[in-house]
Amino acid sequence: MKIIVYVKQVKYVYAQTGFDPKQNFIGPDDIIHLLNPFDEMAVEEALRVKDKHPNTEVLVISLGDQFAEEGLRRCLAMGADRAIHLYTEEDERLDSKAKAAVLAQPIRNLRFDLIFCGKESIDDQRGLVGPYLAEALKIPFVSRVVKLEIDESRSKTFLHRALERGNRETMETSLPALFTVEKGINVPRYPTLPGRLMAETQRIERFDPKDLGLSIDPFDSGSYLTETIRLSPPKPKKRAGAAVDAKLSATDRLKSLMKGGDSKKKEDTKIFEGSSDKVLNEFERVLKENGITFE
Amino acid sequence: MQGVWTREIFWNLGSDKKIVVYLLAFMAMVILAYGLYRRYFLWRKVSRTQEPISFNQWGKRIGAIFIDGLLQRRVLREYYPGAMHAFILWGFIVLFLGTLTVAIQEDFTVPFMGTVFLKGLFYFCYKLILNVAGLLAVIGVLMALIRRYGVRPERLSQSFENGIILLWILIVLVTGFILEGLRIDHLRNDWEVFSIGGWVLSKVISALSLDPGSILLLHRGFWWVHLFAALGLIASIPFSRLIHLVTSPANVFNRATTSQATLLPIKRFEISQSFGVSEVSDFSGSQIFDLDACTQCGRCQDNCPAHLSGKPLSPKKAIEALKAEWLERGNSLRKQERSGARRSEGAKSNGQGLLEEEVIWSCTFCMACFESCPVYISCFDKIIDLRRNHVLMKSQFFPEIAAFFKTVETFGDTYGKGRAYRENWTGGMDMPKLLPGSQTDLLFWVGCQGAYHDRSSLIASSLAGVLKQAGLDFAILGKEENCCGDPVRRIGDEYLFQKIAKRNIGLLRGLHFKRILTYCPHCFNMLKNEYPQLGGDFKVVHYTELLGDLIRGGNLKIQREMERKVAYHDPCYLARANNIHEVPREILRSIPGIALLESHHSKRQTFCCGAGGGHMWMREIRGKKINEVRVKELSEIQPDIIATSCPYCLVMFEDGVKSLGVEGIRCLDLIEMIREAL
Repeated sequence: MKIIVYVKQVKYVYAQTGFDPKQNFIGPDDIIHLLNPFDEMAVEEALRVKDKHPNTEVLVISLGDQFAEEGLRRCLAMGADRAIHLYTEEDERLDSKAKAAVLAQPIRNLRFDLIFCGKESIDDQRGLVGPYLAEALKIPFVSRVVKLEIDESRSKTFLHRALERGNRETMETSLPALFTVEKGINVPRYPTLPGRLMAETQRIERFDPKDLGLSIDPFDSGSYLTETIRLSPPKPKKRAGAAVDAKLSATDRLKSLMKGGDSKKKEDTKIFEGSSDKVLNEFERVLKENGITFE
Repeated sequence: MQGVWTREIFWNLGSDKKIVVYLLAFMAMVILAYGLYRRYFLWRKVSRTQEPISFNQWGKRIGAIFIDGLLQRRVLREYYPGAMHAFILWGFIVLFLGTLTVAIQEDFTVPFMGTVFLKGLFYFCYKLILNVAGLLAVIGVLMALIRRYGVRPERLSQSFENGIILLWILIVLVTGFILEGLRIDHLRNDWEVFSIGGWVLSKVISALSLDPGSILLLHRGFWWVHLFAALGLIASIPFSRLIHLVTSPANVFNRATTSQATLLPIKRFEISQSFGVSEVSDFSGSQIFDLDACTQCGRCQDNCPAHLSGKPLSPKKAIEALKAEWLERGNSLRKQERSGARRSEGAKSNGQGLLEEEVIWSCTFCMACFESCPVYISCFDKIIDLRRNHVLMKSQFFPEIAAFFKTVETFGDTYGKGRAYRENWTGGMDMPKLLPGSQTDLLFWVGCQGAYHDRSSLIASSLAGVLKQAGLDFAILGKEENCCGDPVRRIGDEYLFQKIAKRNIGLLRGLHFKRILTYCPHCFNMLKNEYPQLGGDFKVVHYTELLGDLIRGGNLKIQREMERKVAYHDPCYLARANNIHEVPREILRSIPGIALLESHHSKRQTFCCGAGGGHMWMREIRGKKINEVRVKELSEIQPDIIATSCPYCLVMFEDGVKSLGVEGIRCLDLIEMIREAL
């Protein structure tokens, strides 16, 4: 069995310290590269399939600059067998469709039974490379997989797909297929030291996307389906205004707003102090008194 | 009856028995030597990594044997068991020297010079001293019997062997006194009253009014009993727990130079196949010798925070379990060697590992076991090797640890906030930064706790404020600072630790500063004691040392009075690992109005707060919470303030005070108190 996992090395996005929209508002000093957590789960799932079904090869593929290689090495350390690096420094320019087109080219030439992707990357959060890739390869696609079982004959899979409110769909697909995995499917393993040491010297196959023989140039913006025109920083948060009691009439509400808010609300606020037990008891009592909970 | 104060050696036996005595003594020595040789095989052959025994720093090693061996410093920390052991030891040392004196007279001075020096005043003193020593030993043995079979504390195991050995020792001692009593009763020399024990017994014997013939017969009988018992005791040394007569001093000698503050690094990852310890032969020779040197006295167990809070770890039991494993492995190796079979590697493994997983994850690396052990055995150096095996080879640990490692690896700090936020603790305060090319006296290493933790960052900025007030030339690293690697190393990821440490060392080497100042004792210990292993030799001070100097030198003027009772909690990594426990007290005393309280566990015998060894980021497995145990102990002496100088301890205590619901106790860092008093 052969499993391909597409992984992305993302830039840590919570650190909004810069001012340049092109840099995702990350100060260039503060960029932190890490393997997209959803992709890490995808690798883990592939490795779990490998643990269960011997004679499985796990191949990881990534698209990006030299930092993408770090991510690939991490996957190798976890236990992946082979890594392919499509080297480009302009991956930021590619839209999801173009990325999928670039990825599909080498994948087409590899025989495979399964492809895993993360459900989305935590930086762009588009979640489109997986579906586009499935379309390019003309194989079944299921998103947000949280549980996976492969048939003995290795031609069918049964899976659980996460819906809202914890509902799950049970699905069945034929193989080959592409799945994107959702949080909760597994907890990625921590690579062992022999794994890490081996990954440091393991060969990574590197290709330039331009040499793949694509029929269209993915870097030509004319071939994009979508285009990012502008990135805007989050709007400054509105200062929390005074809460107005909705039960009041319009005039009263206006009056109260002009007075600078109803301060009565504040007086009701109560801060409990003391030990956690004491606070909890007090809190419980208040809840009961107000009829929120009952004995 | 008057006469010369002396006695005839071999009285009532005839000197022809002399040859028998020497023959028997020789046999005892042969058995002793054979037993030790067998043991030596077990010490040296089981370990696969046979490091050479190092014989450097003689002064320190001999000094340790003298102070902790002969003078029993560590043993005497506990009064009853200390006195008990010291009585037996000192008694037997004196008795041994006494026997040696007799041997010198009989085999050296008499045949070669014809002089008998055991007479007169010298004989008087000799007898008196030997009798006192014998009595002390008897008292010691009786105390031991009471302790082990009467009021046995939990830490001692009840074994048959211990009782046999104690009774045996008692027989040697008592028959010695009986022999003397019989002789004195027969010879009736009034001056022999200074043989206290013998004199008293002679009165008892004369009260029995036996005829002289049967007394001589009895004397002969007891003499043989005494001889066989004494020589048997010597011969049994290598086969019983008396082996500690050899192993304990040897271990003190071997371990006296071992620093408890450092863990040994794994060298050269590339050439090793296996990391840490998965079976007993992976331990080093010294570690295996540690196992044999253990006498199961249980002091470590009584001082271990994990054990006292009801966790599955007991250092004593862990060492015992490892020792059993070692003996089994060693004996099977010997059988193989005898039958000529080739040494088979990794004989068996039950898949469980040497100690249960819960046991190795209970340790907080507070080093209390090493501190309390009379013979310098540490449990945590075994535990770190077991942890390393779990982490590096099997990746077997709690999921939160995997997340923690990933956090430190990707973000460079323990909180996973990233370098973007590393300077937020300054709160806009103008803080000089050390850039390549510039220079400073003091490089303030803030640490992750000081930089990211809400509470600790207040303390870090207090410290910076005090530094400014004292007019010191200092600077911070700003965003360049990284985790020092202490929790990573102590959880067991040595590889990640070395990566972090080497990065830090490279960074620090490129900068110009005179000293590094740390706020966290863990960073302090790391930078001061563990970075030199990787080539990073820097001068490091903890802020308590610096404050002590400033206050002593009059650079800081304490102005306000504080009418408070303060209990100072010594952080393990300051007091135990680096012997800094007087300076913090001196600082507290410099504030007028402060009354300093001491708890049972203080100074080098301090008690863990529960956060060491990576436990700040790990669950507590079972039992009580260690921080609550400690807060309870501290609150019993009724302080107004629990002061400490470690960010971990402070967090743990504030939690403990809240969860226990202790009223009226504040937890403060030393620097906050100074800041308030300035």
